[in-house]
Amino acid sequence: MDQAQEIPTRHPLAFHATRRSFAKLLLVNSLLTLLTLGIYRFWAKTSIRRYFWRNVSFLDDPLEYTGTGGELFVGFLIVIAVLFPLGMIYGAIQTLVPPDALYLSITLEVTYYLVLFALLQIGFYRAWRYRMSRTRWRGVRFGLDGSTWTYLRLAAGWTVLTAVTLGAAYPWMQIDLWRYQIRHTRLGDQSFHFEGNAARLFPAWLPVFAAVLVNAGVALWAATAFGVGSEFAFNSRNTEHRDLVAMMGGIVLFADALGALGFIYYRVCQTRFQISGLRFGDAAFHSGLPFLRLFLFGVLALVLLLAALAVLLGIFSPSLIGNGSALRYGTFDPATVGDLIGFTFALIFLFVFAAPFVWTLIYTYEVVKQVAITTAIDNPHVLEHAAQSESEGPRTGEGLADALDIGGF
Amino acid sequence: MAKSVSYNDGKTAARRKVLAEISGDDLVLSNQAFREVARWPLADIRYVDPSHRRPPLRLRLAESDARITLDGGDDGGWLTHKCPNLTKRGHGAVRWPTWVAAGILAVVSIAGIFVFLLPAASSAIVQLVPPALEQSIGREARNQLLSLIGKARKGAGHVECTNPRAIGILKKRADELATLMETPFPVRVSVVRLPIANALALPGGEIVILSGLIDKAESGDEVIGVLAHEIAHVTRRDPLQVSIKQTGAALMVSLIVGDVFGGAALGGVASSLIESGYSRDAEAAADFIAVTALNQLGLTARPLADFLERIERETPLADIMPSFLNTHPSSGDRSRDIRDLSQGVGRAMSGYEWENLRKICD
Repeated sequence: MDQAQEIPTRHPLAFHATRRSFAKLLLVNSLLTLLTLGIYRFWAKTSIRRYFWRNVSFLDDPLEYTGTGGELFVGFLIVIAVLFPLGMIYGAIQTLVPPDALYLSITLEVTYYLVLFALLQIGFYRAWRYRMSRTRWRGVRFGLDGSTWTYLRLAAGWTVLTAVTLGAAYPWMQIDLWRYQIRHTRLGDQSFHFEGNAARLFPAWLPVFAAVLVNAGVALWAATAFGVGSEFAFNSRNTEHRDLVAMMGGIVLFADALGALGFIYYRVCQTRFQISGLRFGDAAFHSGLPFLRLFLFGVLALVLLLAALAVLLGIFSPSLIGNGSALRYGTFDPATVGDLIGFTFALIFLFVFAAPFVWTLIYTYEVVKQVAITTAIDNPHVLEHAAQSESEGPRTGEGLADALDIGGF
Repeated sequence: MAKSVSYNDGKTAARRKVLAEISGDDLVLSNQAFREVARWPLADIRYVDPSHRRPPLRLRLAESDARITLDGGDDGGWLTHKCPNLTKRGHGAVRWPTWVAAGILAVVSIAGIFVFLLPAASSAIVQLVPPALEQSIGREARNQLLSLIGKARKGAGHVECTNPRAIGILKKRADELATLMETPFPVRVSVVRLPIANALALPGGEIVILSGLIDKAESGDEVIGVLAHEIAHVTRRDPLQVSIKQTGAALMVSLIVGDVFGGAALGGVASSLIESGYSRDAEAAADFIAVTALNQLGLTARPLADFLERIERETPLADIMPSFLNTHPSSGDRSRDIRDLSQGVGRAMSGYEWENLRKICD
């Protein structure tokens, strides 16, 4: 390792992609996805990952993605086989619950969200396992150990705690889950670990937490002021009441807008914090992920998407709104069928092609680029000592994550 | 001449500079002291990423984790020209005939789900639904439909037409037909002010006739014929089956189209296109039950056939649309079958009653 000492201690990741070459690749893949009504997406995802992976390099060697579209497709088929009957059963039960059985329908709703929550966590963890097992650096595989069920239990416990504390515990939840995930992530036979105290992330969370508190406070005020058995039953003709309610509504709206903005800001801070706390032996990661730049790219992508949606709705909405009821009951005036088909194709075009294309090209690309170019590693040569692990990871991938629409590209 | 390349042995993430030279059928990698480090058969050398063949070129040894990276200025021609299997896939990889087979299988099974599984599953579920439950679902659906139509035509008078004498005429015939067809629940007929010539059966014996149908009809027999057809759907519990089928289809479409924004919305629209109504078999069976009941009452079913043909003539689009998109497919065949089956000659109502029925929305 004589050479190793000559390289400076802090070593940045390098990013070699260009938006032009990425646009070409993305266009071909998006068109194929459109033409196959979405089925090609597994192969599209794979080719885009290959592109990103090979364009991020460290110590002059790129990452390597070895997954295949076939593996993702088989994972998808397996999940279809499991989720479809479950969904049918749920749909049937939902149809059969009489409209006046309040407790039954509440129980059903709650069960639905509990199952969805569990599937989301499981899907996320398993997708990470698949991705790590298909990522290599200098021929050495990454990997993920740990138990999906432990992760699920951890997530469930923290979610309850976060709810009870009105969201105050959110940064601790995110960092604790990340800690678990990272502690079980390996390069070859050596695990990463995470160093960082979520308390340092809390200031960035404060605006969101404040917004939650304002909402809760106003709800409490409304319940006591106008609630059942209160002395001042709400009277809309009473100007004093009306102004007070309008003012409270304004406060809530303002707080929510700030809270939403604060959440985006927090997410960037959290990602920066998550990367900066990564350790691999003595190697320490460092991230300077910029908020403003990502925010502006996100806004740009969103504006373009909304404009496209507005154009589509403008073309098709008059005939569709007129026939909303017919649509619901599956019998419509044949004259509007043409419009309906046109609208369906427009929707497919928008959702399967245009939206993912614009979003990925403008926003996702920028996120990958910024994460790569703002990440550096101190004492990186520890990574070179990682030795290959025997474990080759799961045979198929990500079906659940795909069905539940989690995880970016 | 030996070239300088970077070598990862696949056992650790270390990187070593080695000299690479072709010797016979092998690529020989040796260290600075000219001692051999590794020997790769040329036939076993592969691109790390076949979709990326520009420098710096990365190559791997098949069935191994070892890699070499050529120098940035080296296009690798000296080596790649002698490697016959650069893009060959490993043992684990699936070859194209398997993919074609899997693709065909996938298409067939998805088609199978729509054509066989969904109808079969939905009719099985229908059998499990107690009639009382279907009735309360139907009541809810009727109220929703009426309030939807009310919102769409806001302020244009009452939605429901309730002229008592006209409703009485419909109710009398509906009850007779329902008794003969042994519907699982009593039938309620509502007439809604909407200028579309259509009638629909909702779950639980709720039948909604749109006033456009009565306007388009040339006799009371035509209206009663359509009514008989809808009551036949009630007997078969088709409306409940269709709504269960649509739920399943929406789910299926959103799963297939997958992780796109709004996949669920797309699923909803697409499934109402795919499962837009009763199947041909359900329509034929409903016609058969309806005509049989009309025969038993001694009434003629021929006006129903006339009405179907007239509606088809007046909506030319129905001919262009593929039949699976069409609510009432192949009216020609249906009309012929109805005429063949019809034995009665009696009229469903007197001229006086027909005059009254036409005033139902006044």
